Amino acid sequence: MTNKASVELDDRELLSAFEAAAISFGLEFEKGDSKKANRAYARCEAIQAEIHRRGSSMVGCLIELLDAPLPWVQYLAAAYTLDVEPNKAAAVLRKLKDTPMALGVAAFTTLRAWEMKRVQIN
Amino acid sequence: MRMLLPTIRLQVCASAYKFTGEERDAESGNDYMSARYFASSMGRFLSPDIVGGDLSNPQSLNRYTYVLNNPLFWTDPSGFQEQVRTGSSCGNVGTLDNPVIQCSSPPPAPSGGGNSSDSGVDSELPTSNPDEQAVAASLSGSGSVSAGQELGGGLVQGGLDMAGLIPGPIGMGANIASAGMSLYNGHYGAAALSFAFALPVVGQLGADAHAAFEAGEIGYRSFDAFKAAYGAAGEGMQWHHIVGQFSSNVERFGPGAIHDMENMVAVPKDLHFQINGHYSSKLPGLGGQTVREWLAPQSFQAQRDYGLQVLRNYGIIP
Repeated sequence: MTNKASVELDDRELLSAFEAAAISFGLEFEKGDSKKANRAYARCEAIQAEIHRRGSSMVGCLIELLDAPLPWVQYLAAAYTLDVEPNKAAAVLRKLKDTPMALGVAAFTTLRAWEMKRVQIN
Repeated sequence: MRMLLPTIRLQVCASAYKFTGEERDAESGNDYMSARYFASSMGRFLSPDIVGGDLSNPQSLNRYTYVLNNPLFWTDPSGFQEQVRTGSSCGNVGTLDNPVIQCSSPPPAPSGGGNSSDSGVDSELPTSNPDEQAVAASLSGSGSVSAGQELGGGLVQGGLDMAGLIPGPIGMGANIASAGMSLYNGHYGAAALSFAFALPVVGQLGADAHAAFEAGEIGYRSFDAFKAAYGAAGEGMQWHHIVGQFSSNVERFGPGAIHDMENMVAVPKDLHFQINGHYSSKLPGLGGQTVREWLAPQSFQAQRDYGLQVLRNYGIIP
């Protein structure tokens, strides 16, 4: 799928685009190619913003991706649902942080950043 | 240029016999190597090599390092002398405690420059050819400094240190000269201690502090100065800063804390590339920052804890 603007995609296409962007991000992050990883990350950010903008039904679809078979999709779905489904999303990140190499590091980092924010708020 | 690299596979080992098959003291966590104890947590011996070094091989002059900083190809069961790892001719299987090597090149000779290709991303010189390194250094402006390039070199300073043991004005003069050389070479800790030795009143205090410096408890002015003292990380390895050496960290914590053996770990080059890529990447939850930017305002300890966790995830440390 080409990088069509998120707003132009229908709901189903948007979720597919999210999965594709998550996989792309994971591949580049695993390779250590930060430039490409950051481009893929920007795409993930844009898509997740559009998902949240469309409302609760689409956010619900994002929450369903916490059970996706691909771990990088799980990771990004969890990262972007921490505020709306904190228990389940944090549980997914805790499970993923024990994964070796890049995925574990990413999950650990996002979880730590989220916990630090919670401490600051409280 | 993509180099063929050794691959290390890691597995959990609950045996009391750990690094190179030597017995680990359960209480201290140190490995018994006949003549000396080896601290696997620091990657170095706890006492100096009584055999001493070879002036033609700068790596051997650091009497606390293990097998010329090249444990992939050498072993030291006696605690006195490195020897070729038996059965290390590629394809073996082992753990971090018993590293396993799959390689496509013969082991380097233990003399001279066999260990001189350190090129941390911090100061990348991706070649083991000295000429290419010189060109790369001049192009990058990093100017990696070898021990032999330092003012006076180790031999002269070693002589001054010996002369410094002579009581009276000769010893005092030698210590002051040695301190000046250390200062020039960026070894602030050594410089201060040599000055301290020049004062008769400090006596044992100075000796203890000097031992602390020799043990790597006081860091260096720059990464180049660190590498000049410790040499390369080993064949196919690069030094990695656990707490990053970015400018705000150097300003906040001081170069001594950053360029210190306590803050360094040798990492296989390919993994080092991935780890550095990780620090330059953006991740959800970091407010649009890269990991490095997100870490920057955090405390030294928080950054260190994070860095150690990253190394665990990548299987570098247990």
